[in-house]
Amino acid sequence: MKRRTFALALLLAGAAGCGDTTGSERVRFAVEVGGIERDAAQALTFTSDQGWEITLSEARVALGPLYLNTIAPLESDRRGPLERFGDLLLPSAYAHGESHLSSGRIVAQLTTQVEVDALAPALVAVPGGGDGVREPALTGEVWMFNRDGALGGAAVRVAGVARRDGVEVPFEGSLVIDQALVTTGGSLDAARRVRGIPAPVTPADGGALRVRVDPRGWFEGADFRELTAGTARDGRYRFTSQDNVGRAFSNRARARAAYGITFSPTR
Amino acid sequence: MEASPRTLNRPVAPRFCACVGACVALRAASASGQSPPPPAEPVEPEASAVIRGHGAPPRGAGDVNITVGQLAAVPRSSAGDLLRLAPGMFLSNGLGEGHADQVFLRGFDARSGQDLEFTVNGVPINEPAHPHGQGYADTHFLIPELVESLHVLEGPFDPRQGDFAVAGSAQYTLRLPARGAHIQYRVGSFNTHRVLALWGPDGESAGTFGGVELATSDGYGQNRSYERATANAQYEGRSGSLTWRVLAMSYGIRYRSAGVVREDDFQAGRIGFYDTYDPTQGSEVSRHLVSAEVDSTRASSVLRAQAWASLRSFRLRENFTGSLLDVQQPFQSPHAQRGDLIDQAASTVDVGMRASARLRTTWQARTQSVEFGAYARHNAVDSTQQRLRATTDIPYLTDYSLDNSVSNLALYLDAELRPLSWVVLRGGLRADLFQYDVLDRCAVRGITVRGAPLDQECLSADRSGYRSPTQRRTSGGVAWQPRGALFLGPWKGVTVALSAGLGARSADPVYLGNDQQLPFSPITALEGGVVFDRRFGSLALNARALYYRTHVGQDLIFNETEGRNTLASGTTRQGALLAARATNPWLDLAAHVTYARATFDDDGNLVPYVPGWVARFDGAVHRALPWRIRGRAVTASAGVGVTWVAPRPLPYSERGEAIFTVDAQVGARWAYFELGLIAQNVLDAQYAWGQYNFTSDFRSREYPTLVPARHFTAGPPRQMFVVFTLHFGAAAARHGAPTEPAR
Repeated sequence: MKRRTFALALLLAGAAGCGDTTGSERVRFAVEVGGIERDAAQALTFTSDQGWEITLSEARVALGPLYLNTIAPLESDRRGPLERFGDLLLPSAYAHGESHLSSGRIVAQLTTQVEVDALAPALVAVPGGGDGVREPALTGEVWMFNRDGALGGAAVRVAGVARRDGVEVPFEGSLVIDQALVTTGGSLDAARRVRGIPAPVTPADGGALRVRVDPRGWFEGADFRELTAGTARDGRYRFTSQDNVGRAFSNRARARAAYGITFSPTR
Repeated sequence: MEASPRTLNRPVAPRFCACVGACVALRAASASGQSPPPPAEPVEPEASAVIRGHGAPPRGAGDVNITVGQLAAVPRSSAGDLLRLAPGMFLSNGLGEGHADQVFLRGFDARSGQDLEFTVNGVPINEPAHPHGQGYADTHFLIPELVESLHVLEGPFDPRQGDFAVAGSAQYTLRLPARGAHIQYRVGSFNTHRVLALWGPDGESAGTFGGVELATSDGYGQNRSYERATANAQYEGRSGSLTWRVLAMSYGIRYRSAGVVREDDFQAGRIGFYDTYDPTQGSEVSRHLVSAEVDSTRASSVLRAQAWASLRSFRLRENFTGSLLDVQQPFQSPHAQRGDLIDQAASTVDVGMRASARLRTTWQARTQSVEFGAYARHNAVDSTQQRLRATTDIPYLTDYSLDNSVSNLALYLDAELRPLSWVVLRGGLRADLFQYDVLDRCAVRGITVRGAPLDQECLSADRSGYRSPTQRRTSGGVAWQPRGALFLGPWKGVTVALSAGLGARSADPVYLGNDQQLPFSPITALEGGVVFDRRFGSLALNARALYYRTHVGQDLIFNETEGRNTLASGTTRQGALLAARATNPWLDLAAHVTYARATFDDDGNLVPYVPGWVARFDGAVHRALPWRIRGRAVTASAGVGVTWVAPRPLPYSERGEAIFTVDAQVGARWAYFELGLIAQNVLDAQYAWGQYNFTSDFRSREYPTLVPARHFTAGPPRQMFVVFTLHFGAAAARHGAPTEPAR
């Protein structure tokens, strides 16, 4: 009897239309931003690939807007040499819009801009949070825009001291998003986008998207000795887009390695 | 003199001219307004009924012959609005005055009519190969006051139903029972002006009429103005058993469209409810149509032949997504987003014919009949879709450019058999041949060819070298469609009806592959129900309840990036409806409620945008007032229409907002003069006609927004109109006179 009642209930539920869904769902989530996790009491000191020991005293980034994309990260970022050789023999196939050469599909976003102190490891909540749909993302994109205030009209501002072989170079500089960044055949929109940041996350209601800015790679390839040929102002050498430090910084501050994205299902 | 035997035989009911359509469209109040169940023997003559579908024998419990009758006193803004009288029907039109109505019926979102076969006096209206959607059906070229009746058959259960009869078919019959001349002026909200002149010469049948209309309005909110001119005319002549009609129609409209509004922008105060993001949206449409038909009605046969020709032009600019889709491509020179304004254009030549012969005989003292018919239609459609730079008329991209030739030839056999006095079988077989010849003038797009110049959209080369930029695709196939219905009864007015049928919707040439074997989407439909139809003294009561199920092999679902419905997977719909109409000489009430559940076959998800519940009430009352002026009676009328639509499922598992609107009209007539007051959306409800979840970027924020958001098209706020009508002619001279029953 009970079994018959249960079967009837199932039948009625089916007729009435259980699972009233059209697939997927829109979600809202918190967004928290900060610098890399470390002991905040200590200065951030690291050694660049050129052997410079760099201590940063200021590292500010205008973060946002930010998007999560279904597009895959560049294979070279996540594949070992053996896998890359295998890929030569049997290339990967991608669904439409999901290879790294296409624009992909955005599934979540943060459409406000906040100033991030990349030297502060504590995460700070972004007012308003982010929104999107509950679908897996593979990569993140940060679109860089200049910001007034502490950033002084730049998208990234940095200051610190670089030391090597007894040479100490106090420096400061900034990244301004403008036409000077546009390469031949490119556009300003393309120049401002940091794409392909690995972000294998699925946004969900009530969760938190965490973005950390890592400045330790900003000076890869930079040789600070070139700055000393100039004149220091207020005790610091200012790098520009005309010198190798400025060029390296311009490229590396827009590199996907400068950002880390994770998602926590709870805040 | 009326034309058809059916018209001649009907009871002569007094007419009442309450206001606007009431005066000109009102016909015999004796009709229940919905198709009766199969009558008991003997069968009444059904000459023109067989031919045109008007008054045709029913094909299912969901087959309704809607006589507008006294319900003309309920405010309606277009001929399309009359469809609301059909059970389960809900219409919206948030995209402009001249845009085809979005029709929802039995779980179908027939966005611009593609799932409903429309005919006007036998002429097909759905447009194959239309750039705004396969089967686009715009009925705004009809003068609503000339619509005498509407035959809606929900489901493909009649072999005479043609292409696009997926959810069903709607046959408009134009006539002017109120003879004489009628000149009307309407003025009201948003600087709306409408002048209408109708003429039905005394001594000619109701099938002979002429009507012209000129209307202008600023429209509600922003960017909804329009200017429209319409002419509908028909001559109906008769000689012995022959009846012939020549119909001519001409129509042109220019309208602006506000398009969609993002709900988050509205909530944040960045845009008003009735505002627009893009004032360049709008359309220009024209249609010119002629039709000639001849009927020969004899006791044992009805022969009919009809031919038509139509010229149409169409241009529509709309923008659903703002500036989102113009992503930098490797074959393009560097650019920012240039805007997603879609510019669709079509120029169409449409010719066709239909012919049929119904033969009757008597067997077992009951009339049996069989009909053979043929249908042929050819559409030559030159269609393009381009993208325009924001706020300009300058195209930057061609989505497609097609020279379409679409032919549809059909043969059918339809029989009506009465083996027993309480059993009626109707049905037969229809075979449609669809043929396509499509010249794609821009066959090579969106690929990178080494050495090719940038920004070339219709390349003369592909990766193998030189090629012509054009490519021809041809296809064809036959759809076999058995259809039938079984009626049991009536017993004390109760008839049981069971119907089943296969239908087909022709393929959209945009998606057509070369030599595609099945250039149509197959449809399977089932229906079972009970119809009650009886008279109680002067009260005619009609009620019905039914269950239905429809499966579509390949459905069409709204795609915001194309601004139209595009191809999707198979879907299944099922549901039920209840409907009733009660009519007596001074009161007319109609109500219906429908439940629909539409799901995709592959994942079981709900089909978005389709309302689960739709309810509608129409009521009208008209009486002679108890006093006379100069010996003539003053007659008055009032009508009210109430619509309720449950929250619709939207993409991403959300529900939209419910819709509840009330329209009302009051009017009075004395002698030659008639005055009316119309209030639409009496409660001034601020509601969304269309609701969508998709991605857009209208640059309303500082940074691009690239994830799905809620959008809506605003339904009209409260609108008030005053209508003044002058009636001329012998009938008008008698109106309200002591010798004339004024009612």
